[in-house]
Amino acid sequence: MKKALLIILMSLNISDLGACTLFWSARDDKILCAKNMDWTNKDTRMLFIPASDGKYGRMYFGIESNYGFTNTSGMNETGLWYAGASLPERTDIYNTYNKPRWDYELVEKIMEECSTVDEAIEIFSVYWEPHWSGHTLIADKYGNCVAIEYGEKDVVFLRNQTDFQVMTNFYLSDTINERWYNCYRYNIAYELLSNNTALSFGLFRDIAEETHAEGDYQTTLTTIHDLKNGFIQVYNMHNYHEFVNINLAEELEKGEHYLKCSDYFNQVQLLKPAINSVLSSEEVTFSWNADSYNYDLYYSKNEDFADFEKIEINIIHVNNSKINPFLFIGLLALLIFFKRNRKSVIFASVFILILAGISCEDIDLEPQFSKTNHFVTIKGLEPETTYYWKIICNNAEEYKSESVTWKFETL
Amino acid sequence: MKKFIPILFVLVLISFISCAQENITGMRLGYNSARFTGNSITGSENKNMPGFYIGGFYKKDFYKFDIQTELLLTSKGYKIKSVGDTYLSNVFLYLELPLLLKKDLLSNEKSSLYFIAGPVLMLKVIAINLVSEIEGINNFDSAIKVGFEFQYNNISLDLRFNQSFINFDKIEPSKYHQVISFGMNFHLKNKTK
Repeated sequence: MKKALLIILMSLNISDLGACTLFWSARDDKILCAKNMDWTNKDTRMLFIPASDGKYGRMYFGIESNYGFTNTSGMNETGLWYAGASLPERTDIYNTYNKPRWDYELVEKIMEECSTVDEAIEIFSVYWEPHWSGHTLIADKYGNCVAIEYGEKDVVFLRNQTDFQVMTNFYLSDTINERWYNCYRYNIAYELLSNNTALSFGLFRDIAEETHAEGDYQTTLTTIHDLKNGFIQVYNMHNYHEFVNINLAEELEKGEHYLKCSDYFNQVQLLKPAINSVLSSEEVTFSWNADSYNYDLYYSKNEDFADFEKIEINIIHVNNSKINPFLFIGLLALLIFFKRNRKSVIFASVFILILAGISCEDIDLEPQFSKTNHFVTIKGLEPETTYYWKIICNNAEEYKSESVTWKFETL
Repeated sequence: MKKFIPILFVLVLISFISCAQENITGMRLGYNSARFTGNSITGSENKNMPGFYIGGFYKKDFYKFDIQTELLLTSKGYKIKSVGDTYLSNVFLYLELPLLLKKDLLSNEKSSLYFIAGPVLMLKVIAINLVSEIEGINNFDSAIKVGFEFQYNNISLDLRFNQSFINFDKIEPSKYHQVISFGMNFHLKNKTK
């Protein structure tokens, strides 16, 4: 229904709008920020550039296209983060005050030269950004955050009024028409950040999951940044069972490198024991779906896995390649052509219909998860105990993806 | 009250069945130019929202006047100025059920010029803009419709003005739909007198 209505809206000459959700919070000595990147392009990338020539070391997340790499968010070694979200297209962005123009994007200049929100504001005040169909959220590790967007004649700066800030795809500076902005992603993120006091990667992952998008402009990449410690968690294709940890300082020491995000994910889906389930301690089966060949299963009585048990699992790869049924359809078509009698035409037609039906693919409602199942059974766990478990995929030398942690209780 | 009005509408429609001289059905479609009116409309540079209507009609000819009822899917709304030259397009889709009195002013054999007037009952289908679905909109609306229709053989053109008199916004009251529509009607039976 919503897709049909969007078609109606577009036919009434209303420009289409991509969607992203950005949110930030600073509480109790923790500063986290996150972005759901919602786009049609699934080729998401990471670019790491070490410090040089008076420029800070920095990294960018973005997409690869025919135009090369386009950055959509980033973070530098000083803990300064930025992310952008789209806005309705406008044609009236002029250099009203004749500001000097920088050679490339101002956010890149900010990543190179700035360590605070105040410094970023200064750059946007001095220089003019000509190509801008969106707005930007910038945050530093000192607890400051600002939303920057074009107002009537120049950029406007909207600093955080509370200890959190949310940005989606409408003008935050348009307070006159607030009544008509009812973005459900904005409302959900706002409500969850208002109602939860303790910040954690888990909370931000939950917010990202609640606000993710599916369909044409689906959430292709979710990134959660710890600005104080320089850690980043990356989630691929709105699969919130699996993430990759990035330590920015360690990555910058490796030199400049450019990575394809999806290469490091294995479409992990945890299955059993389900979260918060209660089961017998005598025998527990751990089950998950994933595309890796090697796993480490961790289970522990401690949530931080301070004391854990580990099981290594190596999978023998089974070739699941299928014979393309269209090959047989082609052969049957040749049979009809050469024989051209009634019986062979009927015989071949029936088989063509059957093979055409077989060749139709099932509709996959959850393409972000693997369909390959793995399981391990453990006996003799302690009764009346809470356990935590997770898996780490071992098929990569670096950037091993790991699952989120689930817990269960034994009887 | 909300259930009473549509029931009354249906009863009025049914009551005409035994009194009519001639029945005519047909299809309508056309263009809407819609806006909001009211005291709480902010911004002076807002724009009318282009839209459409499509549906069917059922006309009963009586001695001195005609009664026409219609079932239409119609769009209303308003373009509200946001920041810079961007506009927020609020689109409202309604099912409309007008009950119209038509008076032929020409009394010509082949052509007619009608004056049209009557109440309209509307049921909201959806209210949406590019940010999200709009909340806090009343499900029912009522309006007065007036206009003119020129008919030649089986085709007619009409120009109508529609003014709601129920505030549609639960959150910020004093907002009413106003629509000017222009369209074509295709009659499925020849007009005879």
